[in-house]
Amino acid sequence: MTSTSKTLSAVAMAALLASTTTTASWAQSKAKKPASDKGITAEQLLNNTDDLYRGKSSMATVEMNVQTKRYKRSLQMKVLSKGTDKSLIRIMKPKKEKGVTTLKVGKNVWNYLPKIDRVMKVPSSMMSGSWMGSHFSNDDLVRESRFEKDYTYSIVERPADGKGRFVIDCVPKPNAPVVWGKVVVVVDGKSRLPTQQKFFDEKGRLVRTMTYSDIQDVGGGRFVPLKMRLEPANKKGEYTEIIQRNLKLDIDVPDSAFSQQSLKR
Amino acid sequence: MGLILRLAWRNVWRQTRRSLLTASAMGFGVALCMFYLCLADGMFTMMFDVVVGKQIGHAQVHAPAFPKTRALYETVDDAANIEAKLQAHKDVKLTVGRVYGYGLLGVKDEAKGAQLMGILPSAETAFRGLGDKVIEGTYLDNKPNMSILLGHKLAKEMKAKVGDEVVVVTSAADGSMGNELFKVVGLVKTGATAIDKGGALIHRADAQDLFALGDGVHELAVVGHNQDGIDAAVAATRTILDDKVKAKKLLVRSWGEVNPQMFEMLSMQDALVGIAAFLIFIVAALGILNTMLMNVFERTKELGVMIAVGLRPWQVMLLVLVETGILAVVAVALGLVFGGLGDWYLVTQGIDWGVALDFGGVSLDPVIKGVVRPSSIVSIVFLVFVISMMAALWPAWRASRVQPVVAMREQ
Repeated sequence: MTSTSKTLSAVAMAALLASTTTTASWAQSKAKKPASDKGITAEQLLNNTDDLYRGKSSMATVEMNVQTKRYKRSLQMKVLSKGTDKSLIRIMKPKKEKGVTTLKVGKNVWNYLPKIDRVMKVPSSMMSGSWMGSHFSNDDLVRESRFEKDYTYSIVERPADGKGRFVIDCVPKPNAPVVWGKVVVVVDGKSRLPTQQKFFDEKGRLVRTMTYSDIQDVGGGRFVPLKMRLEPANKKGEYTEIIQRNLKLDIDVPDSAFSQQSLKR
Repeated sequence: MGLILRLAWRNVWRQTRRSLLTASAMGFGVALCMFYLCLADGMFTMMFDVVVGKQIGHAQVHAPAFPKTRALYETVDDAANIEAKLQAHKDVKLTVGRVYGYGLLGVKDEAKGAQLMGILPSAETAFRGLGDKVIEGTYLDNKPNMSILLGHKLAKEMKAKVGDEVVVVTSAADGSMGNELFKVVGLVKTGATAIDKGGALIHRADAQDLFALGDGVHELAVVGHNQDGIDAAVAATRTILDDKVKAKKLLVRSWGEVNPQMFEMLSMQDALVGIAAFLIFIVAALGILNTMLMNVFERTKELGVMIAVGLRPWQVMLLVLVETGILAVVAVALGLVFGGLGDWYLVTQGIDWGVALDFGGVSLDPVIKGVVRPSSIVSIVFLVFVISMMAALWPAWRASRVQPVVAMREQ
């Protein structure tokens, strides 16, 4: 290569790098605010969904209401999380279950039971069992799949004139650690936040529906739906509702807060 | 009549060897049948005892959906009250109420899912001798005190010993996480694989607390007074709980409805008597037919003389039939003696199969002891007589048709 072309390619390289970086940061800032431009991609929408209540860390007081055919339960708990693989959930109410704590690290789940002052690891055979009598399973707690990484997806509906919604069909990739046959994500056109997720089994039957509502500003430019409602498709009238209160994101929390010792505290 | 009898008796013993041979053959058939039925009855009685008497009971009461779903919240409510009512009935010997659940058992570092059964210790012992099945440690106390009995194979798998602490975590009926600490007081070998390999027994009151069941139970097993009182016990249960059944709150079933396969199998018992009867039929009929035909054929001349002298045809027939009857009596006597010996051996010693049989989820004793049902023996004896008489009819009739002149001419 001649020195001229060398210089030229260097300049081109620099320009390319500059524009990419600019675009990246521009895109990132755009994703955090409800934007009205149409350039948003499926990846961004799906990442919004995956990272809904996540930051580098989070702390919240959560209310969980469960309605089944047999019973109605209302729990209040404190939830602490760091990254995607560590979380600590402590039940505060009702009195009978106060102090029951669930620790999740990676794929492992432990429960601390204050009444008998013992820690029990949940064996893999019981991971599909319900968590605290809700419609969520222990498996749901340790879910590590991400739409962008584990699914092939396509937008099948787009909003028009800033009104309407995005509907994204997601099918898991062959080796993905996912139990569903298909997931349909519905994202609001204006807020770019998910309003609903529908989960189907391999035979295409609807298994459950997750609905999001009550979007609030939780600071730091983040908007989050505070209410989440899970309804099983085959059990009419049953649901599990989760309401986030006092959600604080990106707080300082050490790794040691997610140890078996902290379980007992 | 006396004459005919004397004649018949003499005729039979004129042919000592033949008569004895025929009678012995028939007697052998009788003895064989007795032995076979004694063994079969023994086997069926044992199966019945174990599966019905000691597991199912004669009648069972559940919440209507429980048999299919076995769900924790499908309970029989107000159990103590119902138990008392049933127990008070004269046709009911015993009522036992049980709780069934599933939980995670943790011993030291091992955690395993297991079936939990909440029982009333003394009632279960009365029902099926559960207290005697403890192979290590002691049985549960009559008062609920957070003790637990582990199936011996489960204990081995979990490396659990008597005295160890067990953490039990369950999904309670109200959605909460039931959790309690229990102490292993003993290991059981019940013969039922469900418990021995993957189950544990606790006091019913502890189970009701653990699973948040209040005073509900999942199953009530009702037992009547011995095998003849089964129908009465079932009827009593249905009557007492009639209004609850009509309100679709409870389901009452007889043991045959709970375990139709067992029921089918035990109906085979009578079918087996039928098969035995058929065998006897063949042996007896052929034996008699053969003997009496030969008899009559040989005595043609003699019969001719008798008819010429004045014996009426019907009397000739009667003669042959009485001879047959005598043979049958001898046969039955021989059969009862040898059959009796065989039965006595079966009842006292039994046959050792060598391996424990697995039937209906229960391990049966390898030694099968015989059971004598008087009705079976009576049937066999009755049949021998009837079949013999029927087989002898034709020879007897032939004998009565002998023409004196023709007969006497024969040499």
